[in-house]
Amino acid sequence: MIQTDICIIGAGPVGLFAVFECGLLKLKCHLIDALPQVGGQLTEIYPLKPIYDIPGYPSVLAGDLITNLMKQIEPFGPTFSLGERVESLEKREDGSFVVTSSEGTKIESKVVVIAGGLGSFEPRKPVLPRLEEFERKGVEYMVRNPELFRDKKVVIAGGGDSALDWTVYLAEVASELSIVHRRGDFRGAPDTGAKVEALAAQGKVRLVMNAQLSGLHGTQKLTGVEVTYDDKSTTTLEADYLIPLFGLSPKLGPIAEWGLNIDKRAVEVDTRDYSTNIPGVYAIGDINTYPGKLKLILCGFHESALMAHSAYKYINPGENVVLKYTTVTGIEGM
Amino acid sequence: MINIHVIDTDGTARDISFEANKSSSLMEILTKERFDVAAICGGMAGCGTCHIAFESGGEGLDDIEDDEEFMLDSLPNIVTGSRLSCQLRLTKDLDGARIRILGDGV
Repeated sequence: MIQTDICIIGAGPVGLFAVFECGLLKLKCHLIDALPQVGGQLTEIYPLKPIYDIPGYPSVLAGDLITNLMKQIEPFGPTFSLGERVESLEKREDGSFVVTSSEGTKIESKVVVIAGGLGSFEPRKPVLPRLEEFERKGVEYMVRNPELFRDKKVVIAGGGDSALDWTVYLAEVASELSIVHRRGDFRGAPDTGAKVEALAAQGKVRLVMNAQLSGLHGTQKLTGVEVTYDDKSTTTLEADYLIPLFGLSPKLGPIAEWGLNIDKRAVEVDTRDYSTNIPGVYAIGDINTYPGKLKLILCGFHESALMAHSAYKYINPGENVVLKYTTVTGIEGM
Repeated sequence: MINIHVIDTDGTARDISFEANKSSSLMEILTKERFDVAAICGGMAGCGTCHIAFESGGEGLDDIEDDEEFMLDSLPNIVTGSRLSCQLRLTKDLDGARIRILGDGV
């Protein structure tokens, strides 16, 4: 069991800055995020795009902003559970919380802060009959352990970088490997596309181009993947595994079931301190909503500061917090 | 004025009208009209959540740029006429179109 003062769900820019604001008040933070790296959509979707509305930066690349935030919070020693989605929230009789992740990690905290953007990033699923029946019985949306596919017949679907990268990797692992792509060529990373084509020329990969997934075969366990070509003809590829790699998309996920007041995929908060209807649970950044809400990183930063002061008072009832300027007090460890 | 017919993800449909404006996108109009468009990346062709398909009309629109093409390639639910609405400017080429909101297929 991980024990901390504040459990922050979401390690995007707002979740990271919340560590700073809580740290100034000597509150320790643990962050949990479904993505394997910090930064949320800034690192997942647009790391190389410039942002122009961060005060003090005429222009900053999204990825650089995250690097700077990590440096800014380093003195406060935050800890992380990355690549884990939050599943449940339990409030104990003594008022403390236990957050449990998809991997079974338990985080005990006095306050929970939801800074989850638009939710946790989950794999996009193809629209296919019987898909759910075969999930974890042949259909895998991520390659967690490549050894699972050793000497197996594998079909990868998708034409993005991730599909191409795993095709190159698994060509040496699987007994048979096919890649199904709706176009006649690969337009992602040219180097990787060329590698896949070279592997196909050596007979290590079968290219199934101008085709889309159309069906799954098997009983209990996947045995075949049906594809339909642009000319409407179909074929069935023998398969132990299908790996659809169509990227990631955020979903609110289990948070929606926690008893929070939700309005259109966002958590309703009180703008005095960004608290939710559950005492001790706060929501900051893009995941919250209130009259006049603007989904801007700079608004999330402001919300972090007010949340931290309120969380301090929640944890230490009756104690008065004196606002201290960092210019006066400095930051220990910097 | 530009008039289009929009079919939402739940199958409900209505007509909307707006002025031509090259500095605004179709995604912005659909969001403003409260259709089921998440537009998570805010218009950078980075998330696929504003994915729509033209069921008719839309001829003469700008060609698909690389960023949009790569994102469409990664979506599991693309069809003939698929576009990202964030990449479509509000021009008269949209007038009379019939579009269906598809989202990113999750």
